[in-house]
Formats: sequence, structure tokens, C-alpha cells
Amino acid sequence: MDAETLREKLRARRRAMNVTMKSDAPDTSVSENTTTGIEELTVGSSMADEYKEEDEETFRSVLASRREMSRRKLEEREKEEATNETLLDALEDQNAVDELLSSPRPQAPASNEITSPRDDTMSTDGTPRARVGQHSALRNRLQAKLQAAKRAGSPSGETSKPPRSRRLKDRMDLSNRFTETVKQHTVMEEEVLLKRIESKLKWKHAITEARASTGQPSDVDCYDFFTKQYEDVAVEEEPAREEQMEGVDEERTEEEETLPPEEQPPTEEDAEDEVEDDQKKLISDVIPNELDWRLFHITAASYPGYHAQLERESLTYFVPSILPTDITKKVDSNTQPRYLEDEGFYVGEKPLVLSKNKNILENRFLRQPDLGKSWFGADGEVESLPNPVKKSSTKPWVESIEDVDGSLVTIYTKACEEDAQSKYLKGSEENELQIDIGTVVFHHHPLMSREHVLASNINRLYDEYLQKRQKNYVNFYTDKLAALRSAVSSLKDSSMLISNSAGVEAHETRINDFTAEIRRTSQQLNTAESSERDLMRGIIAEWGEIKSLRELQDFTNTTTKLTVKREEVNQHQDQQRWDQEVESEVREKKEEYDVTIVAPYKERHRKYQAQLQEWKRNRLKIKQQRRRDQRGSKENLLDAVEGDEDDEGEIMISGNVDKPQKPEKPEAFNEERVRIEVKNLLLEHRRNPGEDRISLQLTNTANITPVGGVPVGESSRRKAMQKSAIILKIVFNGKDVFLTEPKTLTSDFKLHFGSIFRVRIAQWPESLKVQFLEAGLVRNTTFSETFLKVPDVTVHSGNVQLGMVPFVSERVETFEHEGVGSSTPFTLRQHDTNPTSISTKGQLICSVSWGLDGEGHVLAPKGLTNNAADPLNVINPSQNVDPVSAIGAEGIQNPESLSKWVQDSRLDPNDPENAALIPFMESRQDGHGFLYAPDYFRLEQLQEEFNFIADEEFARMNRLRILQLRNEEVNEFRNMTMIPSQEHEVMDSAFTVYERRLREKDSLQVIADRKLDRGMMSEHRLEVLRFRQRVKDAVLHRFYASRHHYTFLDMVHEDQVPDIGTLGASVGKLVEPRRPLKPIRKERKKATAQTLSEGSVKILVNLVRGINIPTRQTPSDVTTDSGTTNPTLPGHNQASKSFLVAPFVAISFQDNVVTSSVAQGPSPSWNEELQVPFFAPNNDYSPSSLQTVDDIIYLHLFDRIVEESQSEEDSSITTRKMQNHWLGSSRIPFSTVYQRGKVEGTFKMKVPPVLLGYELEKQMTPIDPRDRLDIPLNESGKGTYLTLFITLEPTLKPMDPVREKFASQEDELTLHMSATYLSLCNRKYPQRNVKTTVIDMKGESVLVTRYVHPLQPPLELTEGSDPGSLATAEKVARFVSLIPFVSDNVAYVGVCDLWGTCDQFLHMLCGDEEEHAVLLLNYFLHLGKRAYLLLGNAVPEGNSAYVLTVEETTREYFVWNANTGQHYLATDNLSPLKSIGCLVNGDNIWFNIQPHDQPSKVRFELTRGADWKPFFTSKFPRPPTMQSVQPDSLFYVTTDRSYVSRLTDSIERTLKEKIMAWRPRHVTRWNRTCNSLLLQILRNLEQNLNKRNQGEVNHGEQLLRQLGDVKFTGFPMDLPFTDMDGVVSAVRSTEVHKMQDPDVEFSLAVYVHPYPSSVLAVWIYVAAIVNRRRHNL
Amino acid sequence: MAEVHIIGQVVGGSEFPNQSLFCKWGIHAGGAWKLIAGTKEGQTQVDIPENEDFAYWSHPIDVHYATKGLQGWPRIHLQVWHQDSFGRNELYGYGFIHVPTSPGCHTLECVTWKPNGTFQEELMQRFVGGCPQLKNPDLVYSGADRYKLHTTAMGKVHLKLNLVFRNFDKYGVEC
Repeated sequence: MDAETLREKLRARRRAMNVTMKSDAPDTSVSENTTTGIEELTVGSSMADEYKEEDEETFRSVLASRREMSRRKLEEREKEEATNETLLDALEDQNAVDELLSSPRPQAPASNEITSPRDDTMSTDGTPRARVGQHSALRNRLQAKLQAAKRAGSPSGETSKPPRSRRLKDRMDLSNRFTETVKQHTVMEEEVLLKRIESKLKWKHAITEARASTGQPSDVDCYDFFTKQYEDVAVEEEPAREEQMEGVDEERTEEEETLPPEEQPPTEEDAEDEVEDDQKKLISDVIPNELDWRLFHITAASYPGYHAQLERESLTYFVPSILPTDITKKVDSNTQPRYLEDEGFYVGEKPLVLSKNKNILENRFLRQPDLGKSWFGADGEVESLPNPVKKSSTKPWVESIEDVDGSLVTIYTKACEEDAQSKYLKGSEENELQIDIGTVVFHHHPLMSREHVLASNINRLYDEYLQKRQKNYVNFYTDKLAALRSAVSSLKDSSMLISNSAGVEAHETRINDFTAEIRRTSQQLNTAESSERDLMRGIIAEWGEIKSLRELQDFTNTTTKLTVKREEVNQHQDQQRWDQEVESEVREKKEEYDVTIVAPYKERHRKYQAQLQEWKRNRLKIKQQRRRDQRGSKENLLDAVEGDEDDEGEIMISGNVDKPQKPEKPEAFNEERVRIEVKNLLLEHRRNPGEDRISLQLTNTANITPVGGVPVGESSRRKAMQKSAIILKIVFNGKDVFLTEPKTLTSDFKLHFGSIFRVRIAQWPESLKVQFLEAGLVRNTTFSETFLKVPDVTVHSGNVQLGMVPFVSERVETFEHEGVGSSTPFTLRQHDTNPTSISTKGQLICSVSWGLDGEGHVLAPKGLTNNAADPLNVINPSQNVDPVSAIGAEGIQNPESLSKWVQDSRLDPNDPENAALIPFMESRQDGHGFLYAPDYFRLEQLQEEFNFIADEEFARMNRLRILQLRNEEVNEFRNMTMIPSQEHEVMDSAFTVYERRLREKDSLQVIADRKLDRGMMSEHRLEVLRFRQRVKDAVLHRFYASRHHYTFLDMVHEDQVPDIGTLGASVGKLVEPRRPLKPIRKERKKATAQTLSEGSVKILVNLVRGINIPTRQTPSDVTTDSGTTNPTLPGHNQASKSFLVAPFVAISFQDNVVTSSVAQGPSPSWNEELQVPFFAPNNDYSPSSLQTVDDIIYLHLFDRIVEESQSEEDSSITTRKMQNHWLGSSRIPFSTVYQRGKVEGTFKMKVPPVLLGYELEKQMTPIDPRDRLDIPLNESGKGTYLTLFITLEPTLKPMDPVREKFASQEDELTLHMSATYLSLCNRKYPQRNVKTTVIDMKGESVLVTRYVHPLQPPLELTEGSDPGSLATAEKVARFVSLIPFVSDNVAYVGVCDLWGTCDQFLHMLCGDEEEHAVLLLNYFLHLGKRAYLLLGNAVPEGNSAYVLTVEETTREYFVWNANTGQHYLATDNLSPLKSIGCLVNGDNIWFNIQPHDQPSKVRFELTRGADWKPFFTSKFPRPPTMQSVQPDSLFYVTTDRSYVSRLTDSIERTLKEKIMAWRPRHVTRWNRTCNSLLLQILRNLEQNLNKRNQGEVNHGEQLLRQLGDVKFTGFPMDLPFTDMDGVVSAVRSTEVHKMQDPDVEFSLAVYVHPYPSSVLAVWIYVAAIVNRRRHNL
Repeated sequence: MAEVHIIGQVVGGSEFPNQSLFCKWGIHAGGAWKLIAGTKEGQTQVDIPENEDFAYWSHPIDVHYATKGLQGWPRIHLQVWHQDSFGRNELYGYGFIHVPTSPGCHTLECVTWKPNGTFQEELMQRFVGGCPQLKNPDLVYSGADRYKLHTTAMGKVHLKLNLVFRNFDKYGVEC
């Protein structure tokens, strides 16, 4: 490039720059920006210098001059602003400030520049300049501040000041910067730039000119207007600027000089315009438009080229070579490489590194300044440690399996699905049961002949005899007796020698002990010997039978033969011994007499004597005293007082003591009589003197007559026997595991199998069954089965013994031939009149044990233990006799507990049965107990020592205890909230309720205490309470265990994915009528417990209408004489004209009472919705808590009587008296509403049998009004009804019933059939109530037919009446209905519906519909009725159980509600039964498959297959051996009369107290004359109930006749007795006590009618009497 | 009485050879410790992650212990099981971890291992499933002789525990 042209251009450019500078920044003040501008200029020019060295000089001069100029200016400034100097100096020294100031400086884009040394020098040169910049900048700021302050003082601006712009200068700098970047590029660009500048300048001129002409301020002025900081020093600046202008550059062009004058006018104008039109233009409008082009510049992407890049990189990068290095470089140049390994040193193996990598590394080291000497070893290799990685594993392999600890053994388990019921045993252990089937012995078999029967009898007796003989009780007791006697005599002898009293006493007690023992032993001897003799007699008698039979039938069938052995005894000796025995017995009796009778008598006598003496002395004193009193009364007073006081005390004491009673002298010991008694006793029980000792022996040596010599019947029997074969089948957990070979019967009916079966089990053993099959031609038939006990873990094949397991078959078999058959009557003996009937039975001799493996381990599953005793089982194992039963098999293994038991039970060491336990007894005798080494280790070492606190204290932590109990969900603490956080805040009293309950479990006393009156609790009731509690506990326990089993649906709630079906339904909704004619109630959304809070739940009662409500009698009906003339009841009369009754309903629930509006007439229509608030216990709305709510919704029907009376003084005042008369009530348990969601229907109200002043409207022809007074309770269809709809708002989610599958005793087939039957029924009619299996009290499911079994009702109910009559049935029904009703949901917290058997029901004295119905049904069956259990739906209880009876003669069907005792015709439309689901009796279940289920529309012909679907069909017949779960007969405890009378008293007393308490503001007077009358009426009512056909007493009339003219309000109530609270609340609900008449008198009568089994009917008559006459006065 | 509340969750398991895992867990504490409330063992659901190497269980743990001594500090033992496509369960690993001894929030990782069987068992495991298991699972947290076992490392179980301690200072223990 041509240097000259370049220089030219540069110059031009510089010029241009200066021009712009000057034109844009005429301001002479030196600011930081100007300095930087200069600096940059220099930097920029320095770059240019690279191109041309010559220019350097000129540049320098320029810079120097500029520096000079600024310095000068600075000096001036410094002079001017001396005030700021000091501060400035301080700032100058700070480097931080330096940086601070330099940082805003626009940086030259140095990255693009190639650094040069010149640059460095420039920067160092630049330092003073930077200083200057600093100064100026700081000064500027300070000046700005000062000026601001001054301006505040003098607001008028100085217009003459030249405008200055900082911002504009900024812009200028920007332009400079850009120009610099531009400069780096091509010269061409520079030219373009120059052109631009020129054009720009021209353009600018044009603008300024234009502005000047229009009078607008220039842009600079505009800018200054806003930004300029006016200074007062500005005037002095002028010359400075001039100087600067002159000194800046000589090279300035002409344009430059033209500028300043041009500049001037706008500045002046600006000052003027400032005021005039400062609105005209904003700076932002002007500046960006003008200067935008300077802000960016587009350049093309530059690419220097790959090679250039490489070249550039090669300068900076070093790439080590991968070629091996020269070894000479690595070692010292003068030494040879040394190989240590060759010299014999161990160097180890170096880690393997690729040679390529190694070379690279070495090459890099060689680049180091010291050539990496320190990295290389002597051998020229990189020094490195030996390879640390081991080739082989460090962990030793444990080879021998014996080393492994037993606990470390792993077992391989197959991947298998876990059975939900965990039926299978865990792990893959081998579990083996060994079942040893020995012999089957038939005690009776249908193929036995009579002789066989007898022979089996004799065999049985003989076995017993042998057993007795073997034990040899007689000898044992005889020996014992002798030993005892000798001991006593020796003791007596020795007692003579002992002198000291203590010894004598001990001696005596020992003698007494011994004699008592002697007495016991001799009694035992008597029983033992006599029983043995009885047995022998029996055997001999039986043998006689056999012999006579053999003779009779002329052949022998059995091998039995009895041999009697006599043993002669020495007559004389025997007699002597016997006499001796008698004597000793007599002597003992005498001694006994002495000890038991004479000695106490003597004692008593001695006491008596002493007392008598005392008494006599006292008497004497008294007498003396009296005498002295009489005499000395006039003597010294003081003395007398003293003496008095003294003696008074004594007299008082002695005077109280009666004369002691002389003890009766006991009867003298009559030795003769005793002797005779003893002799008789001995003769009776023992072997008589001189009698031979007899021993019996039964042998099987008789010959059986061969087939040839027997009659046809017998031979066919034998043939049949040979044909019949028995097979045994072993069934484990319901699965067949083994079948034995068939064995034919032998003549002795013993089958020897003698085989051992090994059963390897994978399931927990649940049942082990042996089935007895009779081999048939086609198939084997089971005739009996028996269960074997699954053995304990300790029972294994090594120690097991064969045991007998009895079995029975109830199959009926009869034969043509001689075989006696089974379960069928036959005459065993000739002269027997009564035929005997024996069912097949026998014994299986077998054993079950666990197998042993090769090492002698028992192959029993781990964790197999005997199930804990059923809580219902109250068997007390006899503690004394058998160690196994007393302490269990495990206990025997434990020597400690065994020896303890031996010590406790005081076994007889001489008893041969106890021989095995002798060692334990011996150890006891030396007083050390059972000794063994303390073979234990401590589990938690030093635990005690490091405990924070002692265990006792730990246990006393109440807060933790509460938390724990809450966690265990103990009733009292469940859902407890707000447990205090501090221990001391927890009261001890928190546990009192809980602890009391715990105590109650054991003791009855506490229950009695809780009930205030102890007299209320009869023995029976206490027991009932206890039993109920126990059942409840057991059931609850089971329930809580199962409640934590969740199903998938419990955990995962998934909304149904909409499919085509739901879509269709929603489309179908569009077509539905908006307001259907018959609206259907939609299922509401169930609210969950979490969303509920107190008060958010309500019971909605929709009261629709009432039917047949009793109406008021017109007063003329009641009191014919005075009614019409009675002036007090004008309102009444008036009212009765308009309407007959004004009924309203009061609903009371949980202490809240809501009343409906008052309607009119006997058939009112309220159509009203009532809301009753509901409060959950503890505010806990979870289902489990709501289950337990046993509150009852009471519906009371009242009649509101408004009496208006005008006061006598002022006729304008009318007094209105409102009175509510109770008409009847009905109760619906909350649990029913809760469980069913809604209760809907027409309910019968319970209206008292007699309601004085009211009558029931009768539809039939009017009869004599007097007869209407008595409305029989049981007249069907005449009741009062309410139509209701009750539901909860919001609907609470009822708890799902426990889905646990219950264990069952039914066989698998039945259960399967019942499941299919149920599903079939439910599919067809899901609404109908049907049950096949129900759950009994033990929690096992039982076929419902087993509950049906005729039972004898209490005799007093059936006595003297026709058992088939309706009256008897009603009586029975009444009895059943008096048993209190408690819903299962409440009693068992919604666990499930439990069915108790009748005896349990009677025992518990409470139950729900099923129990009542079953009991009633069983009674009816016993009475000979055709009756069925009817499961259906009824109001209000929903699913319910009724009893259906069929009157054979009239073909009438009655439906009995066992709960209320009412019965209805099946055709009755108003009966509470609404649908019939199924019928059940002892044989079958029939499901109603008719289209209608209303009782009136159902056909009852059970044989019709189209109407009824039976459970047992011909395909699946009822098993013949089905036994009922009911007991054969019920035992009725006679109710304690005294208890009843006490109860009557206490009820009466309580009620009276209560009534008085309910009327706190009134005096309660009792009309006693009325009481007895009422009581009489009550008695009559109870009797009338029983014999309702025998004429009814018109008791209302009777009452009124007796009482005269009174207004009488009252009614009798009868209810079953549960507890006192129930009675009280029933009375309270009638609101009789609310009578406010001041003259009211009350009358109360209570009558408790006792039925057997503590079933009590309580009758209460509460009456309020207002004497009209008195009232009228 | 010093009390410890262990509140937290078994978050999940990672780095197991297969997913579709569930976990049985239990807390074992010494004789001086008394469980006041909460369940000390449980089992999680089976989590089948779609494309992640982390089975989330998020199974809650909420236990309240009271103790009269420091011995037998509670520890959590875990068993991870795998449920295969046939619904069969096989053991995937044992592990145990001490409950931290400082209060506050802790994120824990419990590594697990699985015993090796014999060659035949390994073969069976490969083809028909199943696995060797400890006869005595207590060994996981109590055995001292465990070094004799041959085991394979399995994945990790992640736990998040919040611990609240009470009254330890009363007995001179600083937690």
C-alpha cells in the first residue's frame, strides 16, 4: 500500500475527527469523557503508527499539547475551587477511586487488537491523564452538587452561560469508539466513513440553519436545557475555552473556525426560548433520530481459514508426540540408565499403561524446564508404584458348609403366590404327620346278632373291670388305711412322751389330719370296692343272658366265655379281720365324735361358764348400785356424782349384756347304734366275711357253631357279613389323602388295619378326619366319620401312644336276617318289653403324631400351638388329677413348672399312678426344690445399670399409658384427642373408668355397685350381664382383628371410565321427563367421616300422615251425669264440635325434641319435614363410632287440648290452657336408620291398651259406647298408624359388614351349594331377604336350618290350655316379646348379624329379630303347629325375621312379629311385614320366586316349584345326620319372687321420686286410694292379655265409680324390663307430669309380672287426677 | 422418660436389577424401648415404574417410642421384594439402617444385599424364579457371623425420617 496515500487519509481523518469534536463539544471544560476521547484517539492513532513510523513525532506533539492544555485548565480550576481541594486530594490517593472512575470509561475493544509494547508504554503514560480525568470528573460532580445547592438559593438561571453537554459528549465518545472499530477494517471503509462524516456535517449545518431561521433551539441547546449544570464560574471559562481552542491544534481546518460563531447564536436564543417554548421538542425525539446510525454496524462473518487457524494454534499449543522418547534425554546425560531389577532389587510389577500414553507423558515431562528430571527414575522410566490391584479376592471362601452357623443357613424358596389366607405353611420345611391306624372295634354294628350285642356289652364291662383290677384300688386303699391307722396309733403312743405344750399341739393336729385322712380313705375304699362288685355282678348277669340266648337259639355266634374263679378264704380269720375292721371304724367314729362334736361343745361350755360368771358379777353390781342409789341419794352429792359416773358406765355396759345362753348339750355317743350302722355299711359295700374272693376272666375260647348248624336267618347274616367290607379314608383339611384296603368284617367285629400313613403337609393342619366307608359294588358309601386331634408339637412318632377315638353312625339300617340293624328298634332279650335301639358305634384305635427326620427332629411346623382357649369356654381344667391337663404338655417338658405343680398339688406318694412323679416329690422333701444349673445368658447386658429410670417408674407414666391405650383402640381411649404433652397434666382419674371396666370383667360385685340399688340385680341378671359382656368382648376382639384387613376397593377408589353404556344412559336422560309422575328417590352421595363436623348431620323426618288416631270422647260419654253441665270445659266442648282430636307428633332424640304442627282430626295429614340434630359420640363420625350409637328416635303422638276459660271477674279476659295428652309412641333405633339409610313406611304406634277419654275410631258398626273403653291390644288392624320417611342428611356411609370368611362346621359341599343358591337368588330378586348360613356366637357360619328345633315353652304358659289354640300361641308370643330387644349392630358394634341359639338367647336375655323369631318358631313347633321362619322386609326394621304359622283347619296364614308379640293375617295389608324373602324350617329353605313378595299376594304352597325354590333338592338332598345347634330342651330358671317384689318397690319408688323431680315448681300430691285400684286394673290387664277370651273388665267405669267425679288422665303401659332407665324414660315420654293444674293429684301403680327365666313384664299405670268437684268450687 | 418420634416415609428403592418392587420394613428396638403408638412394621404396595429406575413407595412411618435407656437404639430393617409378571414374589434384598441419633430431618439411603445360593439355586433362580433367603431374617440386624455369607449387592432403599426427641436432656443425653 502506498504510504503516502495512507498518510493523507489518516490526516484527513484526524482532521475530520477534530472537526466533529469541536463542533459537537464546544464546551471547554475538561471532563472525563473528553479525556477518554483523547486517549482513545491516541490509542487509535497509535495503531495508525504501526503503518507509518514517521507520524509518531506529530502525534506526540499533538498529545503533548493536549496534555498541556488540560493541565493548564486543571490548575485554573484548582485555584477556583480551593474549597474542594482537600477532599479531592484525599480522593486522589485512593486506587479504588481510580478504578471506580476508570470503569465507566468506554473501553477500547482491545480483544481485537494485537498487543504491542507501545501500547504498554502508552498506558503507563496515560496514568497522569487518568489522574486528570479523575480530577475533572470528581470536580464535575462536586461542582454539580455545589451548584444544585446554590440554585436552590437563587432560582434564577444565568442565561449567558454557554451550554454544556455531558450526554452529548458521551455520544461523541461513542462515535469515536465506532470510528476506531471502523479503522481496523479496510481503508475503503474509512473513505466511506469520511464521506459520511462530511455528509453528516452538511446535514447538521442544514438543520442548525433551519432551526436558526425558524427560531428553534438547536439540539444541543435543547439538551443543555435539561442537563446543563449552571455554574457561576462559567464566565471565567470563556477565555479558557478560547485558549484551549487556540492551543489544541494547529492543523485545524477552516470549517472548524467557522463553527464557534455559529454556535453562539443558538445558545443565546436557547436562553430566551427556555422560557418561551420549552415544550416544542424533547431531546429523546431528536437525539436517537440523529445518532442512531452510530450505535451499530453490520459486518460480515469473518473466517480466517483453517490453515491460518492451525498456524495460529501451533504457536500456542503443544502437542506431545506419541513416539518413544530418546532415553538419553531422560537420564542424566553423563550416566547410563540403571536397571534395578537386573541388579537384583525387587521393584514390583508396574501397572499396565499403554506405551502410547506413556510416550505422550514422557514427552510432556521432557518439555518441563528441568526436562522432568524428577519424574524419571534411574532406568529412564517414569517412576511409579507397583500395581495395587490384587488379582485374587481377599475374602477367603468358606468352603466347608459345617462351619456355617445354623442361623446363617439360607434356604431357597420358590417364587410363589402368597395365599391371602396364609393357609400354607411358611418355608419349605418338611412337615410330616404320621397316622397310625390300628384297629377298628365295633361296639355295635348293624350286622351283629343279638348274641354279638350282648357279647360286646360284656366285653365293655369286662374291660372296665380289668382296668379297675389293674389299678387295684381296693388293695391300695386297704393298705393305705392300715398304714394310716398304724401311724395314728404310733403317734398316740409317742404323744405320751412329749411334755411341752407346743409339741403336744403339733401332735394333735397331726393326729387330727390323719384321722380325717382315714375317714376319707375308708370312704374311697367303700366306693371302690362296691363299684367293683357292681361291675362283677353286671358281668355275671350279662353272661347269664348270653348263656340263655345261646341255649335258646341253639347255636353259638361269639367266642366269649366267662370263667369265674373263686378263691377260698379262711372263714375264721376273715371274720376276725372283719370284726377288727368294724371295731376300728367304730373307734374312729367315736374319735371323730369327740373331735368334731364334744370338743367344740366343751369349748362353748367353757366360754359359757366364763360369760355366766361375768354376767353374775354384773348383776350383783347392779343390785348393789341400786341399793346404794336408794340409800345414798341424800348423802354427799359429790361422792354420789362421782360414784354415779363410775358405775353408770359399768351398768350401761353390763346392762346391755343379756344372760348368756347355755349351749345345748350334744347327744351322747351311742356306740351300739354306730356299730350297727358301720356293720351295715360294710356289708353293703365290702366283701362280706367268709365270702369267697371272686375274680372273673373273659376268654374267647367258645366255639362258634359253623354255618351248617345254624338257621337260615343266621347264615344269611353271616353271608352278609362276609360281603361287607370297611374302608377307611383319611381326610386332611378336607382333602382325601389316603384310602386303606377294604377289610371284611370278622365275627368279633374287629378290623385290624395296622398301617401307618405318612402325610407330608404343606398347609396348616386344620382338620384331620377319618371316614368310614362301606365298600359297595359301585361306590363306597360313607357311614360315619370321626375327627382326629392334630397332635401337639411334642407328640412325635417316638413317644406317641395309641388312643381310642370313638365314632358313631346314625344311619338307619334294618335287615331281614338275624342282624339287629342300627338305629332301629329290636328286642335284645326275650323278656324285654321295651325294644332297644342302638346306633352303630365303635372305636378306632389309632394314633396321630409328627414324624421324625433322620436326626430325630420333630417334623412339625413351627409355630404350631394349641389355639388359645375359646373365651366362651369356661371349662376349668381339673387342676389336681392330671399334670397334662393342669399345666399343659409344654409345662411337662419344663422341669421347673412340673416340680412346682407337683409341690402344689400334694400328690399321694403311694398312689401307683404317681410313680413317675416320685423323683420330683423327693426333691421337694429335702426342701431344695428342683435343682438345675443356671444355664442362661443375659440378653441385654448392663441394661439395668444404664437405665434412665426404673421399670416401675416407667410403668407409672400416665401420659404414655394413655397414648398406648389409645393406640390399642381401647374403648375408653379410642379417638381421644388433646392428650397433654406434660406428664403432670395427666390425671390419674383418666383411668378410673377403664380400670373399673377391667375389674368388672372378673368380679360381679362391681356391676352390682354400679347399679345404685343392689336389690335390683338378681343373681340371674348379674350372670346375664357377665355373659353378655364376655360375648361382646370376644366378638369385638375378633372384629377388631379383622377390621384391619382391607380389600383393594378400600384402598383404591377408581371412578368408572365412561363407556358406551354410561354414554347411552346420559343420552337417555335427555329424553326423560323433567318431572316424572312417579318420582324415584335417587341415591344420594355418601358423606365421608372426614368432612363431617359437629352439627352438620341431621335426621330428617318427613311426617306424612296419621291414620286412625284415637279421638276424644265427648264428655257425655265419659260422665253421663255431669259432662254436659260442666262449665269448665266450654272450650273442650267447642273443640270437640269442630274436630275430634288435635294430634301432633313430637320427635325426641338425644335430648332434643322437635314437634310438628298441630293437625286436626283422627286422620291428619301433616306433610311436614322435621329436622332433628344428631351428635356423634366424641364428635367422631367414623363408621365404627357411629355403629355404637344406640340412641333411639322416639315418636310420640300427642293430642293438644286447649281449654279456654273466662275469668269470673272480667269476661273479656279469656284464659287459654294448653295441655298435651299422650296418645301413643313408637320407637325407631338410630342404628336402623343408619344402617338402612332411610326408613319409610306406615308404622303402627304403640297405643296403650286403655286410654281414658279417648277411643279408637272403629269402622265397624257402632256398638255400645261403654264397650269401647276397652280396646283389646291384640285386635289386629285396629291400631294407630303413622306414615313416615326418615333419613339422614347427609347420608352417612354405613360400615361395610365384615367380609371375613368365617370358619364353618358345615362340609364343603353344603357351603358351596349355599353360595351358589344365594347368588342365584340374589340375581333373580336382589331385594329379597334370604339367608342360608348365618354366624353363630362363636363366629362360625352355620346352616340356618339347624336353628329350627322344637323346644318346650315354659310349662306355666301352656298349662291348662289347648296347645294348639291361638290363645296359647299368643301367650307364648307374649313371653317371647317380653325378652328385651337389642340390635346386633349395637351390641356387637356392627360386626355382623350374629344368631344366638335359644339357650344363649334366654341366657343373655336380649337379642334381635332373629333370636326372637327363632325362639317363637321353636315353641310353635313344639306346640304342634306348622310354622316357618320367615325372612323378609318389614317396617321399620328392614330386613327382619318373622314367624309364619299355618292353621291346618282354617287354611289361615298368620304372620307373627316375635318382637312385639303381635300377629297378623297374611292377607292383612297393614301388617308391618312388607315382603317375604324366604321361609325356613328344620328341613329346608324356600326362596320366594314369585313375582310378588307382598304377604297378601304370596301363595304359600311350598311344593310348587314355580313359586318357591328349595335349597335342598332331590339332587342335593339334606344330609341325614344334620343336627340342630339348639339344645334338646331349655331350662327355665324360676324367677325369684322376692326379687320381683323388691323390683316392684324400687321401680315405684324411683318413679315417684322422678315425677316429683320433674315437677320442681309444683307440689306433687299422691292419691293413695287410687293406687291400689290402679294396681288391680294392671293385674287384670295382664291376666286379660293371657286369657283374652274370658271377658274383659270395664275398668274405666270401675275407676270412675270408685273415684267419683274426677278428670282422669292416664294410661297403663307395659314394657319388657331391661333396666330402670328404660322404665323411667318411658314414663317421662308420656308427659303426664306436665299437668299444670294446681289441684292435680297423681297416682302410680307398678306391677311386675314374672315369667320364667327372669323375663319380666312391667306394667305401669300413671294417672293424673283432677277432682272436678273440688275444682269447681 | 425419653421419647422418640420417628415420622417419615420409605420413599422408594433404586438401582435394583428389576423394578416392580415392594418393601417390607420393620423397626427393631431393644428391650428398654417401649412402643407407645404406631405400627412398627409394615409392607408397602408394589410399585411398577414405567420408565424410571426408581420405585416410589412413599410409605409412611409414624412410630412413637419411649425408652428407659439408650441400649438397643431403634433400627429399621428392610426387605425388598420383587413381584414378577406372574404375581410371584421373590426376595431382592435385605438391609438395615440405624435410626439417626440426632433430631431433625434425615434423608437416608439403605443399601441392600441378597444372599447367594449354590450354583443350582442360582440357575433355578434365573429360570424359574425364587431365591435363597435367610432362614433367620433376624440375622439382618443382629448377626455377628454374617461375614460367612456370600452375598450380592442390590439396590438402595431411600428413607426420609423426621426425628423428634424428647426428655433426653433430662437424663444427660445430648442428641
